[in-house]
Amino acid sequence: MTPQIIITLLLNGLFTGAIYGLFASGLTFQLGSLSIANFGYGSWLILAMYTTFFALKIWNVPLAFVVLVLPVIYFAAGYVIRNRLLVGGSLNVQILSTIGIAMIVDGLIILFYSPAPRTLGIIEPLIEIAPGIRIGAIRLTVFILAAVLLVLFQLFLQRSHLGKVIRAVVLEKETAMLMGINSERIIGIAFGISFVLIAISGIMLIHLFPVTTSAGSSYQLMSFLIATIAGLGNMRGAFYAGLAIGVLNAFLLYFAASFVTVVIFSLFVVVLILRSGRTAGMRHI
Amino acid sequence: MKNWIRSVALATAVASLAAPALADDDTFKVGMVTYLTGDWGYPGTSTKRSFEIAAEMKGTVLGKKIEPVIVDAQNPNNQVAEAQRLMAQGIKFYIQGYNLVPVPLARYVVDNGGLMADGTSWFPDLTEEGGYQNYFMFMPSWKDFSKTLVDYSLKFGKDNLGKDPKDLKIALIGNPIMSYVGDEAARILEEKGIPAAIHETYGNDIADFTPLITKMKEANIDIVIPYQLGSDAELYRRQAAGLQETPPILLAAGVGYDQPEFANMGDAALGSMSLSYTVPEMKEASAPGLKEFKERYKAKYGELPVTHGLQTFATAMAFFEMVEKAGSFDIDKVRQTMETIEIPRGQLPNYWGVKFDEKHNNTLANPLIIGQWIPGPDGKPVYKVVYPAELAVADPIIPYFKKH
Repeated sequence: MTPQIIITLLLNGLFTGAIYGLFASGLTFQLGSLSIANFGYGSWLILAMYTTFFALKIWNVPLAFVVLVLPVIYFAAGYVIRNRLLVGGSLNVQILSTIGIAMIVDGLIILFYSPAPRTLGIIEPLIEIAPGIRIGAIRLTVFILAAVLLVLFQLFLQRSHLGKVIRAVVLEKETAMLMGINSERIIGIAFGISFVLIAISGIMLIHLFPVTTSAGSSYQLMSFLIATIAGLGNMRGAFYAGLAIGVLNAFLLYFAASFVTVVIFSLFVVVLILRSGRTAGMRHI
Repeated sequence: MKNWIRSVALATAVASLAAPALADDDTFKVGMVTYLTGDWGYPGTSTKRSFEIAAEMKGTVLGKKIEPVIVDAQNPNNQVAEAQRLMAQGIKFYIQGYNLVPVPLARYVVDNGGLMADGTSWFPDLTEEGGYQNYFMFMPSWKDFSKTLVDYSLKFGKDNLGKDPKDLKIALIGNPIMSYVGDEAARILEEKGIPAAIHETYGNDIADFTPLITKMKEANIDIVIPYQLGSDAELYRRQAAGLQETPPILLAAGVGYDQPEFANMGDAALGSMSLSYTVPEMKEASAPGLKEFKERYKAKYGELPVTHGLQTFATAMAFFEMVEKAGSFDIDKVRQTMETIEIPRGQLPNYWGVKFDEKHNNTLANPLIIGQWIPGPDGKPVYKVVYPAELAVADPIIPYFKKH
């Protein structure tokens, strides 16, 4: 194994991991910070992928338009789901409602987009960063965009007025209400923002991966795994956990591809055991 | 008085429900339980449509109009439940649908007095176990498929790369759903004294093939045999094209590589070959009825059927002939006819013939074909059958990447 191969695997692992981190960030925000168990996360993600595919390939809509419009629609969907369907509901209601919504979303995908797998079919151009070391241009772009997006999101939460209000509601909902903040509305907005992250993740993912109607469950499982390893609600941690899993994945694929799933999910179980009793109720923001 | 009115209303309702069933006695109902939705809804839908076209083209059997009764079910339990429902309605003849786990359904049908003509699945469980006298497997088994995959790989390696089979470096990569095919191919290679240089079954959710591609490039692989489904096949070929992985021979185990969507990735599709059942793209003159079937399908749905559609169509047409020959809808008589009938190769729309052995395996379910994605007149990938000669419409280009 040459140094070039080691560096290639490392970089590819980091870039793929950044994608994991990005699509897990929305779930960790929902689950950890907003305490909303969204079991339809994966379905919304693949809906964004299908919609982007159809917009770009079938309806000939410019990418810029998709990037502007889809997140807005997703924000509205997230807000309505939280403040019309989930508001005041117990955890059981959240789980059942979001599973029900996911089934509707899956059904709509099949109805309107057909069950056929879809792909943008882009052959990723390579950038040679050093002799023998080439990296995928789209993955590099996604890596940078994911990092920038998550930094901006953190800045928004920490610096902007709305971000501060969201943090206040997340930390002390009742106190925030006593201060005159409409907490339910703010949680609805925050949930809508997490849907914006899902939409953006979907737009990016379809540029790299094909989408199938069953892909949602894989994405949801990977998101949950990363969110749990990072600690629920820890968005920065989710990004780093995504990177770590991406790198681990790359080296395992090279040395023993058959063991990737076993090793990663064993790691997940170990983390769950170590965090046992400490995961519930964690609220990072 | 009120009770009397209620009784009349109830009797009317029951009579109105029963009336269509009585009228339906004039039809020959044939059941199919298949995926119509979900990840496999696409080939399942092609199967359904092909069955309907077969019924439409044949029209009647023994004077009764053929009525396909097709239901969607996503897992073995639901499939059995649906079969139970159909059997309760008196439907005893079944054409197998497109199902990844088809054996429980077939077992249920034949265990409960039904008869199944299986023209889509490659699991020989019932014929190997024996005792399922009403089950007829029209297809080759996945074991035959794996063996043919190895045989063709070694043949192409010898004929086109000029290498002794023992010197060939072969990589087998694929996903767990198809791993039985890959593992069997690896076992056969091992048995022949040509162990696979790389044999890896990765997880279903693989997101990056760079490590595997890098590994195969390092090992100077001569023949890559992927056993993949649609989405991982697509991702692999796209990344391989980006990384300029150009194995002299890429011969896939069907499935992901012979679907129309494969063309959507453009140049990355080119050069790939796949082993498949007979396909609608083969030489039309070799298989009577193929042209008409394709034309009807295309006119109705705007696209060509996939291979499982063609197999279903051919199986249904053969089955209708067999019932007609039996001269009765009696299951025993139909079974006896199926056990003795022989349809030589080249008379059905899928080219294969029909001659069942004592275990009800179709001994004429061959040859398997090799298709290759080669540039069409506009440079876009077109799927062409390149082997064997009697079904080929183009010559294979091997090694593709050296020549292009």
